[in-house]
Amino acid sequence: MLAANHVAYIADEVGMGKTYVALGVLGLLRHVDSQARAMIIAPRENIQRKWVKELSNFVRVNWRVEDNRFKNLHGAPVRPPVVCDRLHDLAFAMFRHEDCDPVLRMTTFSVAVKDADRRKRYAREIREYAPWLADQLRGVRRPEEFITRLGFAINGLLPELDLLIIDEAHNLRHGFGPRVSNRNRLLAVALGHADPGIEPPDWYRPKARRVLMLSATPFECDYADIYHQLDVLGQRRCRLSINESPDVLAARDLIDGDLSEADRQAIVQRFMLRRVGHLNIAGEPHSKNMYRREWRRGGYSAHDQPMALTDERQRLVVALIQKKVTELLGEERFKNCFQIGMLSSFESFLESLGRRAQKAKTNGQVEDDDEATSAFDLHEQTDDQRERQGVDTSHVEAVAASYRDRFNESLPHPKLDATCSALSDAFVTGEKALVFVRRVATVDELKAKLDRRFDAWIHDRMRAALPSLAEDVDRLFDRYRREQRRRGVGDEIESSAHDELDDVVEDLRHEAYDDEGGIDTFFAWFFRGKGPSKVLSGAAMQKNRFASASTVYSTFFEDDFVAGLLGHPRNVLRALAERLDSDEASLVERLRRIAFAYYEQRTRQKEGYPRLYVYEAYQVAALALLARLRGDLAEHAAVIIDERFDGWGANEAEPPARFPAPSAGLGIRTFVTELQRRPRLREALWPEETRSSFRDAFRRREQRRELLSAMCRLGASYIDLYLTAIGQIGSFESGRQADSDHVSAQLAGRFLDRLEEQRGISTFGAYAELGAAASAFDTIVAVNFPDVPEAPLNELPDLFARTLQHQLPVAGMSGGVNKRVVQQFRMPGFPLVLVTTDVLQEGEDLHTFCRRVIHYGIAWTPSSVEQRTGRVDRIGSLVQRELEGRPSRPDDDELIQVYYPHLTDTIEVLQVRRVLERINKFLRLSHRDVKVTRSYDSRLNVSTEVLRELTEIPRITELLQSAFDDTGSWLDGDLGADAVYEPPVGALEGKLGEIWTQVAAELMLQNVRRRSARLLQASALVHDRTLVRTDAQLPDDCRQQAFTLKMRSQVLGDETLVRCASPVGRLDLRDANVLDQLYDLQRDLGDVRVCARHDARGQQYIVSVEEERLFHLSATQTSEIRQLIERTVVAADVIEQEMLAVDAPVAAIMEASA
Amino acid sequence: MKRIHHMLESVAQSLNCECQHFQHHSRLSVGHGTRHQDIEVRVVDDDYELTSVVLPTSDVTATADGWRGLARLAWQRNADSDIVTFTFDDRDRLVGRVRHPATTMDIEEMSLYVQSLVRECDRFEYLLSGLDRY
Repeated sequence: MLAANHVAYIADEVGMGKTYVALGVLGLLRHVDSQARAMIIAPRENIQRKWVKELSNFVRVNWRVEDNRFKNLHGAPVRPPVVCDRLHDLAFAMFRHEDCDPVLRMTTFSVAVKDADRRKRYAREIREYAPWLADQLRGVRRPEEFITRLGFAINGLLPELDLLIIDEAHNLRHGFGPRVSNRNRLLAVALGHADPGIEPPDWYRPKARRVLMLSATPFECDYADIYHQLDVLGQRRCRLSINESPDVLAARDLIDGDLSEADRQAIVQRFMLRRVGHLNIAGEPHSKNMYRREWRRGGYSAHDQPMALTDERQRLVVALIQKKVTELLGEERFKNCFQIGMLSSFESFLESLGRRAQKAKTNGQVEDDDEATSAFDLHEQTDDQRERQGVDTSHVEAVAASYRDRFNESLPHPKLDATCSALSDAFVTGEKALVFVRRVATVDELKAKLDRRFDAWIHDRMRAALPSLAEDVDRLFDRYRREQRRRGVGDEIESSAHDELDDVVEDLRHEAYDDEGGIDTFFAWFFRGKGPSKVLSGAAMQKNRFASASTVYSTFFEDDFVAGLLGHPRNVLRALAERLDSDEASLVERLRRIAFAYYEQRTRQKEGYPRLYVYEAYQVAALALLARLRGDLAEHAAVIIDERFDGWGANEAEPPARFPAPSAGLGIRTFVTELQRRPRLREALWPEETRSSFRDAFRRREQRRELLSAMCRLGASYIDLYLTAIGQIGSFESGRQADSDHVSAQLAGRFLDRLEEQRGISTFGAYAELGAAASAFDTIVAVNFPDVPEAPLNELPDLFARTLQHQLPVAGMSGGVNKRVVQQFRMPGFPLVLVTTDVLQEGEDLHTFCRRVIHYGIAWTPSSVEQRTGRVDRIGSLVQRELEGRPSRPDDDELIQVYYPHLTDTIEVLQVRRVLERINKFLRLSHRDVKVTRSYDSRLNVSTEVLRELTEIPRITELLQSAFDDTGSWLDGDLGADAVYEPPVGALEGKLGEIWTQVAAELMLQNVRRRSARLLQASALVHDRTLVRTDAQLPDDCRQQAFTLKMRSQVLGDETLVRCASPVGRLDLRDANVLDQLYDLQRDLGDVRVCARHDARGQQYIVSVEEERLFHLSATQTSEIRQLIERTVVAADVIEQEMLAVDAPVAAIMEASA
Repeated sequence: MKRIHHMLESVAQSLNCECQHFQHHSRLSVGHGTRHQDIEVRVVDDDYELTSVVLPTSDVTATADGWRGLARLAWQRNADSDIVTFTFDDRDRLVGRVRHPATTMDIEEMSLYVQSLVRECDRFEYLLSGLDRY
């Protein structure tokens, strides 16, 4: 399709993997043309980063062959994806290495040019690289002309693109024209729009040979939207055929009003493919409209019932606000019209004007003049500044201020309060909710109200769990509220406020614990950060007990590997002695010697012997002895040492008399060892791994254990663990519990008892959180921790902790994406509610544990509504996991719940009705056999709308089938003999190995290391600008120079290369003297290939000498490679000597060279 | 010289481009889309050396700062590209260069080196000057 028509549109429903399909297209293109250039444009930053991640993942996992075309010999993309945040980055990328895959975002093209200083900056940035292009911008003052000329300059920079991928292309639906946004204009001209408006330079030309567009919502209610997107992307004249048949249709006809809907659909069918997802439930296919349960009439409590207002004061407030808004809209300037979703009265009464602007500017995210001036998201809905700020905002704020003055409390907000009540059930059920709002202030207000509900919930829970300490709990909450009043809710805790915390242990195990807590909820104040003083808070217990390496709790989540290998005997030491055929006394001595050698290497602490390290020392000592036996047991022990203890080699050292006995590390009782004694609980929380290889099974088991441990310490489960501990201690007083071994074991038992109790009930607690994580472990790893499967096991605690710390029961997001909150929302537990503006509308997957979406602030376009709902409706979603293949019909509560909350007696009904009508139309246009009516405007006229019959907008209930799923003859044809291209990598590895052996025999090399069959390292000895040979006498004054020899893929082609790289060091190439000297040396050495990489940290350049040769099985000779090494290494050594006057230590050089 | 002449004739035929031989070097003039690029091939020591000009001396030495900026850019480009070395020749021209031991080079390798040099140098010339002089 792309080859024939030059355009294709992947319009699969949300969550079906459009990104991966597009990456597959890119891979196929590179397969047939390895020199093909591509560029990707994502809508916003988080999605831009996601593309980079997904490209790497796709190549690593899904592209099976290291073909030198798409996947290089190291498992990565042959062409590296390069993130370009700003146009300057794009210019730099083009000059430095245009054969990368630039990944941009649409906001890269959102430039602000009203300000002369900004215009000068853009001109300066272009001039920095290409003065001849900057001529375009000289003396141009009119913003529109400047944008066009800047577009010319970028057009000049861009190479011809063989494939342009536009993600969420519907964002370009406003097209190209006189009043179009800066972004669309700049992008269109940069890509070589045929009619840029002013005379273009002679080198100006179309740049995108093929365009692949992606969007689940390619149009709103008119196919013309698609034409406008094509226009921006330089494809408005495209002619569409099927497999080059003479029957050609023109894309331009999509805007021909005389053409029937069916004819226009036929045009779109030529280049659009849309897959519609179905779930198989009770033997029947269900499309999304069937497994989504919509609450269209506004309420929360009973399905499809209006929101009930029983409180008279609330009813009065609604009436008052409606009266004000109606009067306002009745004024001549508004003519009874307003923008859908952009009235403050439906959102929040808090002041927020200018906040968005301030926040966006502070974050450095906004270049566009327009974006920062709206109090609402999706600001492009209107150009009117009053509408962008909410026409009723000042009136609503005046009423709210008057109410506050009169009654000394906040003005009730019935819709907000009802939402808050509905959502607070999440603390009881654990059912997550994703709430979309339009007004930035609503995020803060709704979160604040829900935080108060959470506080009430946790207060009750603590009282119930600790009835004998109920009064102490009340006092804690009094103190917390005083603290809130003193600091102002939401302020950060000052880092110096905890000097009275006298028992802080400084030997924290994981660097990742940098959580400073907060005051927004009791959880943040009491369980996170340093916690309140002079109380054994959750925070203090966490930091001083569980996170410490010294206390009896330090091994609370550790496993006894030795006991496990020996079959969990009652007396582990005795069983070990029997296995080793040794008497216990001799065994103890041997264990002590090996353990102490490990301990010395593990920590420099000479006194106190932190318990965690002693435990590790005895585990590794016993494993080392077992590994010396024969058979499976020995192999398994060796695997554990290799994986868990970094392959530690068993040395011995004389231990001091006070070094603890083996019982400190063998036969210990921890939460993990005790869990293994409770099969049913274990199955639910830490299921056994059944893998064919012990190594794989052990790694998985450890990955699961580390996740379990991190969740128990950092998330909602910690509340249960802490309450259990306090119940055991019987007091909140700091320093009351005794630190003896049995205290930790007893706590493990009690915590497990508590988990057992929770197993039979459905309310939210540690069992529910940990059990859900265990059952969806693979999903969690895939979406949140893609590095975990390959990561060394000792890195897992930090890896999990970085994501799981800073947890919030309720999270809010606007202005930018908080990656950690997003990752936490993809897991069971906190945050249970996520309130957000459109920042999470596209790109982020939030489906893994959430089935509720609340359109609190309704978006005007069906695409936005669908994108928002689509966050929880994706492949692998919670609902899909639960319902797919189920033989019986689910309960209504098990479906995806989509809420459109609004009050019946307000004009909000009109806007919801309008949007629902548009959603229906969108569904009808996208699917087969449905009729279409009316066109709509985003501005709603109250006076005409109220006259329409207030009928309910019916839901479409039949099975949806795509109108664009006809692949026709596109899939005809054979793959052919060259379907898979596979270079002889194994043979080349062998050849490189042979050459290396010969080179090593000829040259005097040191520190020879084969990092892999494709990456070899050594340092050569250099004397008098030649390498020292093995058959020569070793000179006294020779120098050493490290180098690597690496087999790699050619970027511009599919050949295999061998690159020799020898590092020089860091040079300040901004210094003219340094640069001149390097230039002279390069010439002196015979034009060797000097390479410089900018080191952002030190404002310097990392300089090396690197050259390569084609690497062929038959043609490449050893002498060639030796010559390559000699030329490269000698040049690097000379430059190092002349410019740095050092002979760098081999270790440092090897690190740099790696 | 016979060997290199024969090799270049074959490459010129496969790339459909012009090939001229001089006393000490040969020249290939290769079309590249709507643009073109010349390559000089000579024997240096025991290597074949392929050179293509990116910028003339006058452009390189126009300003000291400009020259140094070019050097930085060329060395950065070296770090990210394959096969071709950007450097300054003895006439202070910015050139792209490939060297390979003469005894082990075959036609296939020569062709690939020529194509890489054409593509890299032509693109760099365009980016730096907007022109097509070489």
